[in-house]
Amino acid sequence: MNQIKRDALQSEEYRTGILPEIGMLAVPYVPMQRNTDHSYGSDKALARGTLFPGLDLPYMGMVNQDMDVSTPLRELMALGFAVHELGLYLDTHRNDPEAEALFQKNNKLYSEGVSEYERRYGPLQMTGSGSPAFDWVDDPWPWDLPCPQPREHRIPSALKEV
Amino acid sequence: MFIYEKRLQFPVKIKTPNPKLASIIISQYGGPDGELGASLRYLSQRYSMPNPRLKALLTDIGTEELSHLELVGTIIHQLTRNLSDEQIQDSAFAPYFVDHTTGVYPTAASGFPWSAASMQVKGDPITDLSEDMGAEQKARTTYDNILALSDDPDVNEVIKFLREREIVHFQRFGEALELLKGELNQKNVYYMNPSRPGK
Repeated sequence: MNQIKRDALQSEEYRTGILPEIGMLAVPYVPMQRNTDHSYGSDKALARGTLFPGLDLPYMGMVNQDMDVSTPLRELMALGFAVHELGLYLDTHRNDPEAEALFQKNNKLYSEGVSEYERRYGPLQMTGSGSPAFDWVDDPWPWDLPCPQPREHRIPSALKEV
Repeated sequence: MFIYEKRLQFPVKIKTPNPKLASIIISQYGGPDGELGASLRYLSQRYSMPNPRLKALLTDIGTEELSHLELVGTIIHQLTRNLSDEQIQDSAFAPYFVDHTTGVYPTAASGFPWSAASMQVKGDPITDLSEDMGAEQKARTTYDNILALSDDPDVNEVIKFLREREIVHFQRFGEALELLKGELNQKNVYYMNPSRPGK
């Protein structure tokens, strides 16, 4: 990182974006976000709802505590969120190699996380890998309260109804 | 096409049922500024966008809104589980219960069912992106209001996340408008409808 960028971070300039020199009348302006240099880690990003401190603007000081991402599902949520957030950034910032590298890095981690999760807990998509039987249908579904159990701890559904 | 992923975007684990709170939060499921309208607005506006980046952004945000619809539905479902008749009788949830039991139905908190009249697809990209920026602000205010009325920390954790997403989406729609303006007549961006070039 060069000196100018360091100075910018120190002065919290990451909270500002780029405005055009001359603004047109009668049309809204939102400055382009400058860069992704100053980003939260994926676990903090999930808790705060954004990867970018410059966009983190809570209501009445109500802020989520950093999230416990020690469970495989939460770890997956945090990585998936970072990938999605960077994807939206890249939609409007086509030529940002640093953001693209960060996107690729997180996307790789996410893909690895999906494989590991599916092996232990069952498929995330109907065609997901790691499923010996068609356990796509098994509880819990995402809106259910119990957390997903590893395959080896699962009670076959026929027994549950006894 | 769309493929379902069997997980939430953000964890939801609500310890205490609260039908009164559910009757407020249902507005972000099927109210005028809720997540159903958001996803249909963006996914429907895609077709008249002239620029590939705008098509991508509306697709990606519209898809994220569907995952937010699922988060709000999950909050309603967990807030209304295992309710006794007494708990329902004594709460603002009773009018909803008589129509939908504890199913999750797209309606505003005021009781008005979800309506496409709460959104627009104008077919003019400047107009549609301006509407989208307004829509994100309206949803943010709704989440502000929910935070003002709710003291359940399990619920508020998710609401804070959803509220922050509105701010990020507002930024991206604003940037999309900047990108679009750069491709238009610099002396008069309203010279024509950019989705109908040359007409």
